[in-house]
Amino acid sequence: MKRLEKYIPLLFLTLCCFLIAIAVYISITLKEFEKTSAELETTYTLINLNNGLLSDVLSIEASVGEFLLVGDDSFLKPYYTSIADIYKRLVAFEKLARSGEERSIIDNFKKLLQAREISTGKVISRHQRNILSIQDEIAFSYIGKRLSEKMKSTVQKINGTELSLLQQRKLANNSSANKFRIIIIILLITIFNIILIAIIIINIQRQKRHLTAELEKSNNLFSSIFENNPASIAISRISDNVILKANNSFIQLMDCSSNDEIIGKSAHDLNMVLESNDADEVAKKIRENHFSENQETLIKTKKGKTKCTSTSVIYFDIDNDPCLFSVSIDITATKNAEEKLMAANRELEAFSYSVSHDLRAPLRAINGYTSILIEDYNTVLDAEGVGYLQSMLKSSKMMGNLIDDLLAFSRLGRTDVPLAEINMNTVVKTVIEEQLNNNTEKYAIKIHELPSIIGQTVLIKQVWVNLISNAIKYSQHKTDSKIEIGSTKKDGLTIFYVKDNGVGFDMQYYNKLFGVFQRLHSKEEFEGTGIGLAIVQKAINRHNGTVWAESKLNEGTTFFFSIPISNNKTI
Amino acid sequence: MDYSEIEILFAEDSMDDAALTIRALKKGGLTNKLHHVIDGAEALDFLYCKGAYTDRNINHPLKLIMLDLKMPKVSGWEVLEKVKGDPLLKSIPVVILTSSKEDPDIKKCYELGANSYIVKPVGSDNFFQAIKALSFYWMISNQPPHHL
Repeated sequence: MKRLEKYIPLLFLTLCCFLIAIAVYISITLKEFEKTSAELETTYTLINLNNGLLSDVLSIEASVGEFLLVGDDSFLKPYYTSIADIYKRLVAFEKLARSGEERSIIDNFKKLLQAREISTGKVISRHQRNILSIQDEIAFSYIGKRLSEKMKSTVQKINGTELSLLQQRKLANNSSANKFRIIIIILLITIFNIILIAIIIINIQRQKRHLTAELEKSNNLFSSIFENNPASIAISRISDNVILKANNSFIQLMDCSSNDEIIGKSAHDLNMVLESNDADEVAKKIRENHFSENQETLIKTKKGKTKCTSTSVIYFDIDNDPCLFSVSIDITATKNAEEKLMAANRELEAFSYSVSHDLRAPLRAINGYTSILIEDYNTVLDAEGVGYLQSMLKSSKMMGNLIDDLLAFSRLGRTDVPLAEINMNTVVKTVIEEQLNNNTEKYAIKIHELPSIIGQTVLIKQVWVNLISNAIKYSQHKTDSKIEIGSTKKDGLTIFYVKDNGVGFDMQYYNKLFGVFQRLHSKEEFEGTGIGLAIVQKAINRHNGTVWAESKLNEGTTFFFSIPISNNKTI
Repeated sequence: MDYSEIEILFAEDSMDDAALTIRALKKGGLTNKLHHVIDGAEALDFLYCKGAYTDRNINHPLKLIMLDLKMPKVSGWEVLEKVKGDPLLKSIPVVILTSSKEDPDIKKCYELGANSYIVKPVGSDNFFQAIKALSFYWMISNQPPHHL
């Protein structure tokens, strides 16, 4: 369409020239036609005159014959009228005569007529004076006849010439008419083409207007997106580092009040770039890849404030001038928060270290001295006393493990620990042994075959410890304590459960179940810190799973937790 | 006081840990070869024969230094740093004893030149065994370079 558009004015001009040429040709043809028609008219007139002459010649002959026969003068009247007519016709003829030949024929005719007049005049006067002899009459008739014959043949000659002319002109006229018809058709085609081109031009113009409107709309949209973008955008020329365009957010980022303070200035003029260790590396990356993504950059604003931005840069050309399109997001607040968080983490680490060190020392003492008592003083104590010392040893050891596990747990929230395949059967067996502490007879524990999962061993073990110890704790007062541990698979999840027939709880307090330091029983009834289920929930959530419970007062509780089967290294 | 028999310097601020450690070593027959100090400052005094230890013979070689990390006045780190920075002392093996399992400790100890690192376990059997094995290893199996 565009290529065609280029040729349209040329085509239009050509068609116009063609139209003018046709007009000139038509006018010439019309003139020729007019001329031919006039000549045709003349030819008809001449033929008419000729025919008139012929009838006049015949009428002369007839009236003179009748006069000689009857002798009455009244018979001569047509003769005179015809003579006058012939002269009139000859005058008309002379006017129309086109060639010397015709004129000489007319002259000849005139001479013949005059000769006829003279001879007829002689006969009439002799007849009126009665001196006309038979010989005269015969001689006259003879001469008259000859003259008449001559005149007739002259007239016929003229007639023949004119008729053939007539034929020629008719043919010429016909060919002119044919040419004219063709010209008219060509003219119509040309006009049709001009109209067609005019329509195309109008359409193109309309399309152009439409496109211009669309372009303007799109331009408005994009400039609005540019200006009101929450990200700070600037376009700068590489050759001199001058900023060509900047949006409102960029102006705000630089603590400036208007565009004028930024446009046309270089980053150096604005004193905005702070020394950065990886500046050269970033510049190299932009040169090689034509972009750099989310680069943390420190900038100095007009007010001298230092801000941290995450900046992406794209290299592109504007009118063959290499430019940089940079999109920055102010991450100063995030960065500050990150630093605070890191400081808090460091503090927490110091705290964990202190807890780990300080809590373990007295435990080690209790443990150490207890074992000295068993080793060196077992003769002083009876078997029961030694048994108590053994329990002390075990408990202090367990507490040491618990401290280690809790510290590990708090560390797990902060650090990435490699995941492992956990054999749930082994874990559950170990936990039950630890928790029952040789008190196996009181509890009927049923363990179904459990599938392995991928997870953090310490966390999952803690989940089992807390759920199983809860089940034991809350069913300890029953005479036939039953605990069931099993699993099901549903919707891509492995659901594990721990079911007891203990005291249970009222479901109306369910929302308090997993809260930190939330307890549904008094410390006198059941001991505990109220943190166990909170730890369970946190640990399961870290494995992208959920934990929930169903319970009936005095009938028992079932705790469920789900672990996605597709759990991978992303926990 | 005669320090000529002393082959192990043991710095530990916790009396309980010290008593348990000393008992473990006593059972191994090494008691009279060990000297217990209660902080880093005293450990340095002993090493450099200063303060209460001016009468100690500085040329009498030590075979092992056992250091707790968290101690008052001068910490285990500082003692370790000094020992390993001193050309006369740096060949004495140093074993770090601590309650801490935290990773940076281990790394820092080795960076400072500690020869071994051991976390004091809570379980008593483990603890005694660890101490015994450790002292025997460094006293008997591992010959210090200047004795060669």
